[in-house]
Amino acid sequence: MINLMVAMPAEARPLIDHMRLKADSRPGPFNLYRNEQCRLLVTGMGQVAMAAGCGWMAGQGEASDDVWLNVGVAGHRSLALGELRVANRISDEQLDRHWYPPQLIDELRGEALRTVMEPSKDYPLSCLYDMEASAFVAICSRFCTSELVQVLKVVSDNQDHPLEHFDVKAAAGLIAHNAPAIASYAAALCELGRGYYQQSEIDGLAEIEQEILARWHFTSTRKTQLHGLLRRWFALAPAGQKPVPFELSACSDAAAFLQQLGRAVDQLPVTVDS
Amino acid sequence: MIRNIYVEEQVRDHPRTQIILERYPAASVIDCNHYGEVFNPNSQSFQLQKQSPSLILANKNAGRVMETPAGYGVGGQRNFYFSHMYNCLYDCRYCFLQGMYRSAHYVIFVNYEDFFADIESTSAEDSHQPSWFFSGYDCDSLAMEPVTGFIAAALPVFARLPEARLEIRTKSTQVRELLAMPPMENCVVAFSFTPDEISRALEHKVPSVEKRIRAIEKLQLHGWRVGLRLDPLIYCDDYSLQYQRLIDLLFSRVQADQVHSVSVGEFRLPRDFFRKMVRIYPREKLFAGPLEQVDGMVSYPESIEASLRQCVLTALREHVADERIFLCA
Repeated sequence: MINLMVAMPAEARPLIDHMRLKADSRPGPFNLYRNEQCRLLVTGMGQVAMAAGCGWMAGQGEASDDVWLNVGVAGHRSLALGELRVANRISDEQLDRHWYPPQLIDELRGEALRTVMEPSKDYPLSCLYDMEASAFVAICSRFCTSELVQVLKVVSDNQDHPLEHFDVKAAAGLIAHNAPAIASYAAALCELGRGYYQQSEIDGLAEIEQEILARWHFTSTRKTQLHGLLRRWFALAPAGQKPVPFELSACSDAAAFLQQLGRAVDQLPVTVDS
Repeated sequence: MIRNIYVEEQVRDHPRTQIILERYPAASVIDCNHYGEVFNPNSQSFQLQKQSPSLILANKNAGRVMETPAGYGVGGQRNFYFSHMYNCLYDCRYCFLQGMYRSAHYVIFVNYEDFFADIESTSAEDSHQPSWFFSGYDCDSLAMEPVTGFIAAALPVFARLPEARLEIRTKSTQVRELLAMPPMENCVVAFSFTPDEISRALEHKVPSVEKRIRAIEKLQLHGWRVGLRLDPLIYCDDYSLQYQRLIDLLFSRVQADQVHSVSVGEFRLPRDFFRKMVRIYPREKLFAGPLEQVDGMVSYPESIEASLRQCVLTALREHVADERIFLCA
């Protein structure tokens, strides 16, 4: 599931249209739009609003395969209006902190980004300027590995078209123009996330583990032992072999079960073939 | 293909930085204040980054030459290691780096001259006995040599230090540079091996056993001193057959009397590294084998270790004298 975090309604609307998201009618503190693959939250402007939005979204806890994307407009000294960039270094002006989201998707050019408290009118450095990204990465990289937390910005103002002339409708147009590229990047990020989350799971293990845990009382230590033995069984057992090599009912309690499973695991052939 | 290069502020204008950047004209260059800002944060995925590692160019300010852990060495009394680079081009499932580091990016410390100065001063501390310097502890010594040029820069330094010994430990076949220069008496090129079937299953992106043997043949023909490293020893049901085959193959091709040393090392990991590696690869058979945890270290039980070790040592003794065989902790 991709979580698209957007500050302004004008930035959100072209993405809602392009991705065919539907408004979530449940009452809540933010406007939420969604389809089966994507949730888009309109957080409001600034770091506090973005932090609140990220926390709220994470608290919904709907998906275990989340990836996070902040999309919005930003200023830049010299880049042309409408240029789309992925932030490869995010600096917080106030905290003097930096984040470097690892770049594994080769679809967009990278650019440094500086998050400021007030809109920047004079672009002192050659980088993107926004008002939310540092809060977004600081919060979301607590929920998710940082490769899956990315920031995309569309240039909406520069020295030739300064912020005083900022037009919300024009900003929406710039996002709309880039919506296919943003959607493509989001899909690639989801794909990356899918591989990551699947890698750390073993098909069928969680189900059998639940079944066993429901049968007897396992102390915390025995739960850990159970998980370790099941992991070893699933790794070493020849393909097609039963998930557990004996009748559960033959064991009187958790200790007896662990003993029997341990013996079965130790008898499995030890090979290294992948 | 390197797509992103992080450059630490301190080495932005270093000539070696410029040479490496010129090698990757299409890469995005990202400034950072200190390499640790990129390399050390929590919430990074080693296995995701391994799909497309970036380069980090940095300065190593301290800890350039370190004493090796006890038991590490090939007969010398004074043993040191150094790491001009963190992380490896290869992807060996048993490698401790994936348990130790949060990031899979390649860190290259470009201040080679500081490493060389430390090596010289460490060597000078005791000129009565040789000091061994082991390269390839936190990286493969030769795999990135076309990019780093580190070994090419280090060899002339060791040529001036006859009392110092250099071990270049590698699984790489990048030996062109070595073949282009005269062999050095105080340098050993040490190749690591596991049996072919184990290598194919566990040593991803590593040149095949056959290719490594061919590299050894070329080096020996050219007069370089070569070492063999059977490290780590990996257990499987037919380990005896596999290691016997490997050792027979090696000594049917390399000149046994010209082999400087053979070392044998056990599979042993700190518990926390092991746990992290299991989280990354929960289906990996290597981590599901008969391992046990003792005093914070994960390894095969002593009975298995002893059998494995004995089998390998017996096979080695058919070809190499005992004084050239070393057990590494």
